[in-house]
Amino acid sequence: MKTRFNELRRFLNELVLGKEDKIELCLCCILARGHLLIEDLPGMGKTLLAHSLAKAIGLNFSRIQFTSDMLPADITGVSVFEVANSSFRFHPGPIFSSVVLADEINRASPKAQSALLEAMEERQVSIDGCTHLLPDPFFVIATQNPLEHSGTFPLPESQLDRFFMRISLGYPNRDSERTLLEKEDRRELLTKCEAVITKSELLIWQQEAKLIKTRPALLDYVQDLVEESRNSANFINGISPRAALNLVSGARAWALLAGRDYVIPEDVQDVLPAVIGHRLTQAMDQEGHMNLGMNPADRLLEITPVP
Amino acid sequence: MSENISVILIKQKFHISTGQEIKPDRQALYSLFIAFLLSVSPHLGRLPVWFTLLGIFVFGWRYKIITTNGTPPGSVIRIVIIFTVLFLLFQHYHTLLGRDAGVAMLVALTMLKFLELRTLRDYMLVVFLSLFIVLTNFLYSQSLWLGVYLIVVIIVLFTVMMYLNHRNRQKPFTMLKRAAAIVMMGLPVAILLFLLFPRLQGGLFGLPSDSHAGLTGMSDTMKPGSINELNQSEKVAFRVEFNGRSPPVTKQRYWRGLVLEKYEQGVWKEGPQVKAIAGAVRYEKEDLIEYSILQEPSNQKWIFVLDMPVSKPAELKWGTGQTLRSMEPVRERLQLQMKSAIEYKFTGISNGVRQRNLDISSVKGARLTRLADKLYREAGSDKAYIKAVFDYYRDNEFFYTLQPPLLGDKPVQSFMLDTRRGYCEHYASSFTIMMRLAGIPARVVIGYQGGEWNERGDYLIVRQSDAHAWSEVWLDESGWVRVDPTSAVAPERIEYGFSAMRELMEQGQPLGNVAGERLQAILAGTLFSRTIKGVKLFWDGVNTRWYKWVIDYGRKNQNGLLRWFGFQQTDWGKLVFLLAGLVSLVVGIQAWLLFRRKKIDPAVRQYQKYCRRLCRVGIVRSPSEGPARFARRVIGARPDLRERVMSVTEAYIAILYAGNTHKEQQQRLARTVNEFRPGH
Repeated sequence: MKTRFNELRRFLNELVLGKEDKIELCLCCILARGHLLIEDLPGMGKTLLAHSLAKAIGLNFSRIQFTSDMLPADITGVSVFEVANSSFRFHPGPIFSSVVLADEINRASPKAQSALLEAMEERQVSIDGCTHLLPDPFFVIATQNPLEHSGTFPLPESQLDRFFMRISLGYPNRDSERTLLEKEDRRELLTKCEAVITKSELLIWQQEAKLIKTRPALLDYVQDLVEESRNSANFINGISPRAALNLVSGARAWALLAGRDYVIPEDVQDVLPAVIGHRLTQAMDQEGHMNLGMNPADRLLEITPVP
Repeated sequence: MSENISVILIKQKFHISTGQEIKPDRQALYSLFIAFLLSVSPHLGRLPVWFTLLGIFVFGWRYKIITTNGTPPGSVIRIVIIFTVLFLLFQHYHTLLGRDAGVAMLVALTMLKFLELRTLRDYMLVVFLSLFIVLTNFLYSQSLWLGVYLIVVIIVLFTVMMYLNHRNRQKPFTMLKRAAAIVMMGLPVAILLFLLFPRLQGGLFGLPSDSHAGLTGMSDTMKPGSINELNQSEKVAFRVEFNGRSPPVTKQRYWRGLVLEKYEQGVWKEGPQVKAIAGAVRYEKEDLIEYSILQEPSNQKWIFVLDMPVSKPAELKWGTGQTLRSMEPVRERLQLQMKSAIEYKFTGISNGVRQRNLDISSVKGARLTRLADKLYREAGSDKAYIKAVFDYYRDNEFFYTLQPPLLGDKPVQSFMLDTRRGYCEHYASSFTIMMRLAGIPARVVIGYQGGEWNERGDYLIVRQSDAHAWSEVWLDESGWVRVDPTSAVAPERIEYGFSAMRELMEQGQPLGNVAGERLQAILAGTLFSRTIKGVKLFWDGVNTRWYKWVIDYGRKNQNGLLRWFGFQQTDWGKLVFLLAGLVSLVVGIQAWLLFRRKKIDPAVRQYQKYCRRLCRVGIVRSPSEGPARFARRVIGARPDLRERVMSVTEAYIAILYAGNTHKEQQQRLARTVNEFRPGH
């Protein structure tokens, strides 16, 4: 299993240069059956990363480019009247794929956003009274531009909470950028690539991740974190039970990727910023300023002792 | 170096962050200010009015300092302010000692402390001063409400203390809950201290001598009008418990306070004090009632007891005419065990007493004398004469009213023959004079009559409005006999009590002829008024128990309690010994309950030992650091320790996180930790 992970990592790192740590988080997210939100400036390789992930897993892939005039039917599909047998037939929308890339999700209206997010949560779509199951595995990678950009509808907290993780890529370092500039276009490279792992392999891994051991000492630590986030005056809202669950399953997947069958506190610490970052809001401090020096997740980790 | 390490070790042990010093911020100042105001608020009505201005001045200045980032006033200005305030205080109280001036000075100086708040220490000082101010509130009142309120204030002050001392601040509500938990944890010890702490004579708190201003009660003379003032007051005069038995009926509830024998210029006064003769009263055993009186502070010596008291508690002495009084004016609630006989007979009367009770030297008016002569001639005997005077009241349109017309310089004559309007004092006074005019020894008794029975607490409440005056006449065959002329005019006053009668008068009902059922209906009142009355009585019951069991808990109750637990003959030393033992027991149990949950895994203990050893060589684990990450850092700093660090960390992780809790694994961890000596 370890060699297979390494093959997967090598494959992705060849396509997306210099982002080993972020790729590791993406893999963790997939193994934990979570949905991923990538937030960054345009042109930072968000779409490339999403494409590469889909390609590597070898699942069928569709891309939805979100725009402000988009309707829910553009995502979920519509029932069309067919004259030949005079009946309605359901034409599945782009969401009926194993990997869905929802590009620039915050450019769409809240109505279209919620159609996607409901499907993400329920893993099924209901149209005209019929329930259509989405394929398994089902994995949404959404990208969004930073909220300050014009023409964006920010995702409300309740919908942000549906995403398992939020990561941002950031600029590549100097060496990676040089390679990027020298070598051929990544997109072209992508079309030539073959899938690295199979669907059944992924399903097995996802099962494995669920079986990773979490001992009482570790759960104590997770609960301490949760409690601290709820009681501390540093944060406005505490960690929700769903977020806590995601934290544990993320830590399990992280331990699996590290080749362990048990979770240690460091696993939790590694995934926490990505899992909790978009759900934790920092409170103003007493003088009325935001504490800009440290992001809320790191602050939470710093003030919670490891048992 | 060694000092540094021990500090680090302590911080490590108690998870104290080694980060920057805590600096009180604006929020801390505001919350401290609010907590201070809460602790002072019960004093507000008692402090000089200019304190408000001083407060606005101080806090306004402080606010300006914060908002403009200015500096606090220098020491010269501060000294000038302090002396000005002390001077003003002296002007107001003419002293700086005693309760009122002392409290005012404490509040004023605490307020001024706000001007020079700088460090954490200053803030903490204000918190402690506020706690002291909380305590001074008990010098003025010891009511249940105040107690509850001040506990809340203490919780708020604790919260502020927590806020000041914690770097990683929690939400205000969380801290409030924690402060409340701390206060609650202190309660068992507080109760123990309350029950067992050696008592000095006096109240719950030793009060300064100026603590008893403004108490009201009955005066020692009677002239028409003096009781009327009391009748307006709903204040409780005293409460009575009948030791679980039901009380005598309302018309037998005469609470004897003073006997007035001397009549001068229309004013009744006490005669010379005569020691009561032992055995002056004869009674049957079955007529005896035992009860206890809880006398409210009255600032007077009179004690009001049920007619007729036959025994005397040690702390009282006898007064004229079988009355009781205390040695000192009653300034604190007093509880007394009493015995009275409902049926009684006086055995004799001395010549001096007889002469005093026949004195009519100050009575004026020829018409009055003629009336008495005429009535006595028609009646023929003493007993018949008493009845004749009663009938005279009844048949001649006498009215009971609380607004009687003024009487001239012959008050009794104008009352009996002209105005015929008055209340108990007028009737008692005129009746007694009528008796004396006919040569029957008679005197006025003042006290209370009636009282409200509180079913919830099984005790009787006697209010100031129940104040009453009646007469006693000497008949040779029956001794002193109580005669209440008011009952001839307003029988409701005697049968149902003063408040019932006032209710009737307010409704415009004529007195003396309202039939039973209708009267009951009128007295029952509306559902609303009954509910209000029920709530009032309930609250009075709660308060009475509070005073009886908490405030009045003294040496006597303490001894009783100790005897109940089987401790005979306790002295000061034994008590302290017992108290220390019990307090440590309670604290021990609490500590056990508190720390039992945090049972430390032996593996964790071993790991802590390993961390301590690393700490000694200057590698300190931050509390938020996981074992694997810490190991990496240790190896980075000390590559030579690599092997041993790895084996400790692996064993620790295996036990704690991988669930490999085999004995060999535990032993392996213990062994590797023991062998771990990172010293140079």
